[in-house]
Amino acid sequence: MANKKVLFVDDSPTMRRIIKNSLNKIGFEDVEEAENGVDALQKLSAGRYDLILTDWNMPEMNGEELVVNLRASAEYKNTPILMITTRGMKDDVINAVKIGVSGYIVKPFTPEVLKKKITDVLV
Amino acid sequence: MEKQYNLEDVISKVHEIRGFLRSGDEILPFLGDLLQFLRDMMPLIQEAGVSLKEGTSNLPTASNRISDVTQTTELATQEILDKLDAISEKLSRLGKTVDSAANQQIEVIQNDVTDIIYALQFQDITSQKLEHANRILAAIYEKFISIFTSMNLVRTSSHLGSKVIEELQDGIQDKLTGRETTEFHEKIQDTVRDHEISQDDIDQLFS
Repeated sequence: MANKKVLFVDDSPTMRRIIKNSLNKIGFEDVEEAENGVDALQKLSAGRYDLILTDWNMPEMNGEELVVNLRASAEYKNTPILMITTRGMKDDVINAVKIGVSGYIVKPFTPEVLKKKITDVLV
Repeated sequence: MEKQYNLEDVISKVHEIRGFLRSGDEILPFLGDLLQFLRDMMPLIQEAGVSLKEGTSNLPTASNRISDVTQTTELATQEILDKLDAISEKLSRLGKTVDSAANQQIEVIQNDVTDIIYALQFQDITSQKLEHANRILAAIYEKFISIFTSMNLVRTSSHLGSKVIEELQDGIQDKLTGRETTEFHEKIQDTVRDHEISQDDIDQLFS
């Protein structure tokens, strides 16, 4: 996992710190952050990422719009995308599957769940 | 011939007037009831208007309060995370200088630190719930504002409407400036750091 480049997208500074800390512990060394979908798209166009973790509810461009954008692009149509969100309704998860999200985690989550879901989507 | 026609015309008019007065006899009690109903309703509508105005004027403050809570908890959470990161680093350094038994204990503490870090997700979750509450307040605010706009439209559409709305608004204004709203203001008074006072000033009051 050390050689994989990861982008984590969340408007909450708290969540960005928690997840960056967790990703480093899991073994990812190259982790970058974005505050929303627009910020993420800029970073994604500037470099190549192997894994994307994104929140759903964000200003400017939310996680759903970001995923739709990425799945329509040639570079990121097959890249693993993990949605990490407070939205825990069945319809939300169904919608996430439809737009092409690879995995889904509802906040709050444990380090074990995060590690397992990342392993699942990277296989 | 012309005179006879005029007489018939007058008689016809008299019949018309009589008919009008007959229906007037029936309409007048109804109009009386309607006016009495309006008279009874005016204070109630004024009361509703006062509540609406007071509620509307305080919604932005409530919304700002919610945003303050989010900012305060976010800052506090960042401070806690800073401390936890520092503790974690110290534990890692300590682990390199102690034996394996002590290292096991350090690992247990490291796991506890990780648990605390993950528990801090509550800050993001609660702030999203507060954000939702804020959106509800904003929607209510917009609704209230549209009610006031509608009141002004009624005012311009007819003379009677203008008079009624004018009286209503005067009554609302009187109540807003009068004592009627004291209870409401007591309930919504901001007691959190409303009157900033230094600890020295507090101590002086006790001395």
